[in-house]
Amino acid sequence: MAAFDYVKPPSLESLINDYAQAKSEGAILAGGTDLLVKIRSGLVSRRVLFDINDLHEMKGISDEGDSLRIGAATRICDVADSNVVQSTVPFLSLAASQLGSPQIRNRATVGGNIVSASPAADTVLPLIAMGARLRFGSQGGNREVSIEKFMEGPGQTDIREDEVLIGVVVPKLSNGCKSHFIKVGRRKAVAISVVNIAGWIKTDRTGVIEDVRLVLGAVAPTAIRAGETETFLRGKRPNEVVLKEAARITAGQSSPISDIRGTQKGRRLLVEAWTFRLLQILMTQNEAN
Amino acid sequence: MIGDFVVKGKYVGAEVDRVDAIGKVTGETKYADDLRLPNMHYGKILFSPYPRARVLHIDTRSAEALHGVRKIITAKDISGNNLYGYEIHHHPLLVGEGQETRFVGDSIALVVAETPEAADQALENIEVDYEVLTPLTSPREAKAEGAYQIHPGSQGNICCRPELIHGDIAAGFKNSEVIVEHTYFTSRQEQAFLETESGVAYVDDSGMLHIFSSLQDPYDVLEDVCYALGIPKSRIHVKGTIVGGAFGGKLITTIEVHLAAMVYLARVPVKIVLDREESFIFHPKRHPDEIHVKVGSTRDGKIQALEAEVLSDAGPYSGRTPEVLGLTVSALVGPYGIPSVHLTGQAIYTNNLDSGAMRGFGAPQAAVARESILDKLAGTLEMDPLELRQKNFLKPGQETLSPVLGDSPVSLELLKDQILEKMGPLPEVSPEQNKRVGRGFCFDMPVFDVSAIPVLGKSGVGIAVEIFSDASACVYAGGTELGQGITTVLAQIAAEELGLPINKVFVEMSDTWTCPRAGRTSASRLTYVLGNALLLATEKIRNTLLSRAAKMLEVSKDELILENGKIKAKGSPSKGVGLQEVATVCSNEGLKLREEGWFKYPEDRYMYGHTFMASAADVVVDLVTGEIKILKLVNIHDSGKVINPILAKGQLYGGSLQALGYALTENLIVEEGKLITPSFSEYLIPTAMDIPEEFVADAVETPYPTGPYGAKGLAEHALNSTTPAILNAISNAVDIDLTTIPVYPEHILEAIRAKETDHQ
Repeated sequence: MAAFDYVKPPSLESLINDYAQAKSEGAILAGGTDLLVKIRSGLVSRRVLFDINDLHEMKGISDEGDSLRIGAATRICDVADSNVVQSTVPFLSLAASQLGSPQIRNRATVGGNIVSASPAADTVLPLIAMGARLRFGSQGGNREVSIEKFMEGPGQTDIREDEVLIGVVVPKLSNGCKSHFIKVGRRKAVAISVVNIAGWIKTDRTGVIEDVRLVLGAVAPTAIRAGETETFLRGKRPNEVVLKEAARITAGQSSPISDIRGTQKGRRLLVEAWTFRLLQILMTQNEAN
Repeated sequence: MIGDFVVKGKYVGAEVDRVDAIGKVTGETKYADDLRLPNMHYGKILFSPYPRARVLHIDTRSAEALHGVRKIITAKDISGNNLYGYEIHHHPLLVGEGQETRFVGDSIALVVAETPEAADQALENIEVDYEVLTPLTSPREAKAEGAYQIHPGSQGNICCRPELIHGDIAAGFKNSEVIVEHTYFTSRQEQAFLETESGVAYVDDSGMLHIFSSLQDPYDVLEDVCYALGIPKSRIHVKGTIVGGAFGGKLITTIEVHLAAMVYLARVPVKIVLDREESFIFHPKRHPDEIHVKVGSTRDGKIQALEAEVLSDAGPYSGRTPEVLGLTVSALVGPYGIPSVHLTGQAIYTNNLDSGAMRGFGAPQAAVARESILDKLAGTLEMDPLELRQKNFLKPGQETLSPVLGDSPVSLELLKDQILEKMGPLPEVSPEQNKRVGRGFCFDMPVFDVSAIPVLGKSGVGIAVEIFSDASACVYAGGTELGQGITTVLAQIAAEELGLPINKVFVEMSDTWTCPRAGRTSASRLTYVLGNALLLATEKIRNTLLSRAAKMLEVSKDELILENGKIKAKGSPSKGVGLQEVATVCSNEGLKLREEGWFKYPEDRYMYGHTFMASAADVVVDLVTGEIKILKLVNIHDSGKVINPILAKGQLYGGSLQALGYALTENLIVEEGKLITPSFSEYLIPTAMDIPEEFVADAVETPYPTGPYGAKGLAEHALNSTTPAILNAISNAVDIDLTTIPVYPEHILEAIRAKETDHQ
């Protein structure tokens, strides 16, 4: 394993300064569940790691009225267990509770799940579905960008060399919306998603779909919104035929690859099957969920 | 033969706690990696990056010059044969300049350094020029005419070609009114033991080489080290450490020859611990097989003929392949009486990962093909799959391909009744849920090795027992504690026979210095062979103690009983003497208190005994998503008398979970000879979360005439029979054929869609 320096900056300000100075030779160490594995296997080598685990500005979940602010160094387990997340963005909590294993959830962070930019990252899907915005700090000042725009490809993001992800602002699900997250893995724990899907739906009093979001993971270079499906469903009164057609349209929007976890053809089948099931669940769910 | 049948002793048959439980639970148990020696160095192996390449030049100079590096070893430093391997010594310890590598687990150089970090750095600095060659990665290509020979002289790259014939196959198919055939593909399975290959070794002042390592047979290691390095056997001491799982993956020598070469040439104590990625490429896996099977039956379901052909990927070296494929082929018949049988197999050398022993030893592949085709036949006959099996159950005394040894009673009917009772009614799901439930069965006849004759010659299996003057006893057994609990089983038997409390009985295992030769720890054999040997040894000690006590008490020896640390006269309970007193007198008088027992099966050939096994699974399959949920899994075995019911259940649960992984999740992917799933984040074994909702293990205990207390062997069983039960349950739930494992939900969706298209 390549050697590196370990630095624990005393404040956000000094982190931003030191990180800028290290240029591409620095990396942010939060949970380490991804970074340390990559360093050990030689995929990543950095001269210096900046540990952000004690920076209070980057931790915790705060209720800001219409939205939640989640610090980048907030543990996945804290998101899964948070009452405010469970009541205002339930599918984010659901996604967090299915990521990895208890051990991984106890270390891994929301920020890490975002910036490592895995197309299969579980928490990214509900964040995209909610139109979450990422807050970055740098010597040049702060920047906010939507998470959907931020993701560019597997491991590829719009992050700048001197920028640090401070937190994410997640709009709350509005009243009457129902949400759900589905993870398809090869086993019930510690499994990278073969396919994952997140969605929310809002229907009017007569049962017609007013608005809907559907986000697919692990079937394209980044998690993607199934925009065509959303357009198709808006204004429709859902029944089995409509949901089946929506599922079929959704599969068409995916562009999966074949890898060790599944084949292209298999993933398309799974997208179609689970989209149908997710929509079914959304339609029959109690609003309380 | 020995002992009373199905006694319920104080210890035998009782739910005795594992004697090694406390150490394992508290972490005090020392595994190979916990051992430290003074001046101990660290050994690392440079593996070939290519499945097939010619080594042109190896330059070790810059690696040798690094700080902390003690020694770099290449083929030219080895003075022995530089070869090892089970039966056929064609596995090079180190592939030298001018030679070709045969797979990515071949070793090119060895590093000995002061720290693991220095060893890693040295590995990176060894410069090797390779001429990269095209590997042979499919058995079909490798056996084709004109394919290059992975081992010169191996025509068609054939490793072995077993053939078994019983009855007249042509007549059998002629008598058949219904014939079904199909091809099944089974996957390469990784043993996934927790403890990777590890060991420490040193040479003492007298020149004796001591090896302490995680292994399955210390004597096999001794043979290999002697052959590869030319060290006299009398100068090698091998001690198996407590093993953190093996499942056949340590049944051939792992790192011990490497370790011995390092110790000898670097002249320092050395430790090797493979990391997980190295371990994945290094040890042999379960053979991936392609099995074509054809079965003929009368309309009323009497099977007349069975024909099958197995094509097996042997990987680069022979190792255990001939034995494994031999068992695959014979296990295709299973516990059924079939009048005509013709079974053939071919194992072909390739440049893929090596194939060898894994729990079940070839039988799980056969069971998948056999039990799947039986369900297919049942479907064609429109007969209940269980009824079809029952109609063809092997009958006692029936002449078959694999005659059941030793008048072992056939208990298939009893197992069938038991499993039906345990399964209860098939659960229901409401039809609007788009889910279907299905039940699958598998019956099996797992073998256990009763003889090990080729390994041990006519002497059989040995064990030694000593009772000391303080009335404590020690058993010295050449088998290895792999986690299966043999230490506890032997302690139970010795305590029972010597009338001692179990905490006064100690069991030392797997040591070529102190333990008589017992052969390999495999083939579900130790309870049977070591148990029998132990009864012979304890009988001698009992005899000595009782004879001496008879004199002391002035009664006839036959009137004495030995229990609870006392020798008492049967008729007059007041007449008695403590065991400690008797043992002290015997010891002072120089009577022999260490005895050996040597057990040999009455017939002088290598053979298996038979056990019986039934598995059943209830699953629910989601028609929309293909999701599979195992509602209930029941395993019932008949391995004769159960010495320890807790350990027996553990064997069934563990084997069953490995089978569940084999059926549904485990997929070792090798592309162009390279492993692309080299870790547990890619190779997915079941977790605690994947355990079936209802998981039942139980036994039918039919005493086995030649077994200790009527016991047979039990270890591999549930891995054979659970996979087919799950596959049949899925296939019955949604009415599709499954031909390839692992089965993923999308395969089910594809099959359902294909069927819908057919119907339209």
